Amino acid sequence: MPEEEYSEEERKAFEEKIKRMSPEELKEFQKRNCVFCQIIIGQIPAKKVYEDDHCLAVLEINPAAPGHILLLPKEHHAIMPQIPEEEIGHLFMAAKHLSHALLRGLKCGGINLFVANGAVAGQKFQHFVIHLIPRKESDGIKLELPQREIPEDILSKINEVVQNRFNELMGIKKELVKVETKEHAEKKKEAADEEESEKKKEETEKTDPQEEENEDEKSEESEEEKDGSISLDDIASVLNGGR
Amino acid sequence: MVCELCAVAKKEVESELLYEDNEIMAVVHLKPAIPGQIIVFPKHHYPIFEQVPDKIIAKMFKIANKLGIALFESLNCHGTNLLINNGVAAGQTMAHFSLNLIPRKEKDGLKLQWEPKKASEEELQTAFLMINEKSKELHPDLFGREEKNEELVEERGRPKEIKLDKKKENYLLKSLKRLP
Ligand SMILES: [Zn+2]
Ligand SMILES: [Zn+2]
Repeated sequence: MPEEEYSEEERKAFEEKIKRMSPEELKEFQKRNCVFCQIIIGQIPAKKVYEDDHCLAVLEINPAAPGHILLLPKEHHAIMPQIPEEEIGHLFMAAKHLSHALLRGLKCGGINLFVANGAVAGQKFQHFVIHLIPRKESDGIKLELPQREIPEDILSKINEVVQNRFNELMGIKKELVKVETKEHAEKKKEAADEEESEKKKEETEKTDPQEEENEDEKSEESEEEKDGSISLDDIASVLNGGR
Repeated sequence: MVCELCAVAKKEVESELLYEDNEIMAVVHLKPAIPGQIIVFPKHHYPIFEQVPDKIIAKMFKIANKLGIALFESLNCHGTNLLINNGVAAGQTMAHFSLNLIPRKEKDGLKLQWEPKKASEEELQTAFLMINEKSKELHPDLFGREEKNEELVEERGRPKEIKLDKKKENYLLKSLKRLP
């Protein structure tokens, strides 16, 4: 699919425009400017390999390998968290059946299912898409995951913060919207400062393992106050510091 | 041969458990590509994607989606990847089907990519015909007739309208700005 190119000026104007839009306007705007929405309404031709009321699968015209399928929800959603649950179940069931057809139809050695949410993850279009990529030995496609050794304490910390949030999401619908009051912002700043000093603490931990238990308790306390304070940056800095 | 994920499912080895029910499990990956990588898998031993029942697939991805939101909000990552390595040629390392959820940020060093190649009309048509033929043979219920599709939709009920909360809206804006 062709990518749209924007000049710096156009990009700025584009961003400004988006900022001023209501959610409804934003959605309309996205649809008009979305290659996939145009394919879905039939404005841009494509090779459709599957279609129902909720999703459409087409062949990628710039494939990673022959038979590369793009599976799209018909409704315009930018990323997976915006898609209603029922739709998610349906989409990935369709993905499974398409994967099966690819595997047998093309007699390939395997299939990758790939989703990127956000540009840093490699998302190229503003419409959520599931890639199904037929694979053969040494085809030059890089979708293997390297394995890294991670200290246990970091893993359990990750588990703790992710699980806390996950349980909230799964449980009785808790308030997710937080109103950003002045007080709140101040608290946030305090938390950030605390985080800084915590980082220093962690550094001391590394050199002074005897005090570890004590320090751990403390950081756990502040953890709760800040509501999920460990970030990938924190983890990265701890990992780098530890080496 | 001992299956690593079966061992986790049977609690024969330790794991960082995030979610469990009768059919599926989600754990923090102990040797992740990026710390915070999560694996979601069926407890029953299914080697590949195609063998897993629809109902379990639907549940796995719903849970994966919630876990993805939890990653965004708890680890402050800027993106997530969802990756299935299905078959040895696709990088599958364990003989037990699983999906990977990977938190991402700028310059995290992880490269998941491919070189897009322009396909000729002929190549596209060939792939199209091969896939179509197999689809109809394997899943006549899904790919065969239009009416069947409607029944499927009927069963699932109408999709609910999604209401974005403030946080997601903000994320949307943020992600839009990052997109080309
Ligand atoms: Zn769209
Ligand atoms: Zn197994």
